[in-house]
Amino acid sequence: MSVETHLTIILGGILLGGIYGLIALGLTMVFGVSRILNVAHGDFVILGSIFGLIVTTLSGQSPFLILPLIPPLFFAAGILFEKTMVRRVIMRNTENTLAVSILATLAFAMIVEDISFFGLGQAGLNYVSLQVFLQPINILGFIIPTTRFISLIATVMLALAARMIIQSTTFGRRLRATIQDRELAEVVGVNVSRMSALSFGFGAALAGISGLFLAMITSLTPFQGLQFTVIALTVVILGGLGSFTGSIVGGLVIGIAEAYTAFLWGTNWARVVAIIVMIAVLVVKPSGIFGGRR
Amino acid sequence: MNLWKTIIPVTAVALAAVASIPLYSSPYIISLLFFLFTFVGLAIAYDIFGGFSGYYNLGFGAFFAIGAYTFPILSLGRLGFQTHPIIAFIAAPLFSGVAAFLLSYPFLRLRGAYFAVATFGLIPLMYNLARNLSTITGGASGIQIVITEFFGMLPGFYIAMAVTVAAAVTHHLIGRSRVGLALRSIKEDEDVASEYGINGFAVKRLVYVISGMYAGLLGANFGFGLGVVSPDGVLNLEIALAPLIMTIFGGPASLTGAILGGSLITLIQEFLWLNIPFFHLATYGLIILLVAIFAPQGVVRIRFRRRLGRVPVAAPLNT
Repeated sequence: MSVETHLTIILGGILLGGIYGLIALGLTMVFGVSRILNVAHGDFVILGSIFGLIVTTLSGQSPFLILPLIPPLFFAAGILFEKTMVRRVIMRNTENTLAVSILATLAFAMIVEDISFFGLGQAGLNYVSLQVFLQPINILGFIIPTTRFISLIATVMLALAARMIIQSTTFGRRLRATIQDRELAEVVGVNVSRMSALSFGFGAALAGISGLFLAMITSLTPFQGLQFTVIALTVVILGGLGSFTGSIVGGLVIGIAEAYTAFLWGTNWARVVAIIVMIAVLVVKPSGIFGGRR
Repeated sequence: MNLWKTIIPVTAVALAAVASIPLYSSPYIISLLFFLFTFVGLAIAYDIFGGFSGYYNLGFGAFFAIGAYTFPILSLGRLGFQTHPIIAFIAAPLFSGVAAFLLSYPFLRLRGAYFAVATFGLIPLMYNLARNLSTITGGASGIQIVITEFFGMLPGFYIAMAVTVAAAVTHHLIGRSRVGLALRSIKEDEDVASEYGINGFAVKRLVYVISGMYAGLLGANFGFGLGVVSPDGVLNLEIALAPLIMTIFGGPASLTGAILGGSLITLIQEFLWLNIPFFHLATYGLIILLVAIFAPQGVVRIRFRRRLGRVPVAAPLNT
């Protein structure tokens, strides 16, 4: 393989992996703060793409222009999800939160997927796709597809922004404190239940943005919601549950591994490799690449 | 022990009555009973590991699928050699057991949510393997098992029934044995259990393998009964997560719970498929949501909880 081929594959992998990392970041944040396994997390990705489809169709604008609409809306949706599903359903009983969180969010995922599939079907669509065709740009002799390139830069910037928020702001410090020790965080004055709501909002916003980007580079069906949850979970396990750096690095590892597999053996093998990588990492280091305690 | 003197004959008579149903009923009833026993058996097999140990094995469906695929792959000579169907049928649970044994190394060292999350990955892994290894597995369309008088729904129903009864007996015996006790102590606190000399990993692995073998046996029988094994047929998420939903619905670590959960969920799904043209997935989700709201400990424990009243339990803040 030539250098260009490698570069194209790696850039594609970084784009995909960056998006996976953003999805996983939200998932691991939610899990870390509230100890809830949100199986419906991938459905926020799909909802992001469906929202993008509706707004671009109605307004005729480019998907890039509606990008700023997604974070506030999905942040609100995530908080609404936390206030209703999590507070009213999952937190009602304190004994087996994990089981109830799996059950309730799975049920939510089924409802959302079925309704959005029906809605798309009514609109005469089988899948969501927002692929925009811009003139490819030529940098140093490499032909680079513009949409993917802009998405790549936006994804990397988002990941850096998310990392900065988590590392340097008061919100981020409170968030990390809650993840490390919920009780102690409460003792030093962190409003833990507010953190829980904010983490759901933050996670949903990241998932929504990721959905829009994914729809720009590929096509999605509503029933892929659980699939994205599984990908995000693979990334999270790979990087270490509760580790933010781990989710981004894990996302990149999976993204690049998938890109190479897709090139060498075809796209249908990509998912297999991602999970085999996860199992291999678990054999060597059960807490994940960046995981501390299990 | 007086109770058992009544329960055993009553169960035997009830099973004999159920076993005689195919003699005077329609193929639809036979197929319904086939699904019913398959899923009740799966719920019990799931509960042997998941219920007692408190681990949420979201990858349980993978063992079901391994069994389902092993049978036609071996008996139809997909690997280049053909075995007798009976040998293939016996090989199916063994393959699932070996897979469970090997997978116990990466997975059983994980705890709680980590275990649940990591094992969930097995479902898409198996699904994509089944789709991609098309020379062996037949790809997306799967493998047809030619139905002769020997194969099919009716023997499938009897085998499913026998396996379910065997799984129920195993569940009961494990629940009363030292292994069951060890699993319960692991559920309470794994570190304390190991302080008391319980080899947590070995105990979990033993039961994980037993649970996986029953899933494999039921999987082989599932393909055998339906006459086709395909990725979407045996590895869709509804089937893969059904045992988990059923045991939580019925009540984990309880044989009655698994039987009740398995039968009710199967009948509810059957009812939804037959009567609701749209949104049956959403309706199913709504029912699961209602279970999560009103019976998070399982339906077998509803009355029990009411009688006791609401026991104030300190919230485990950092579990």
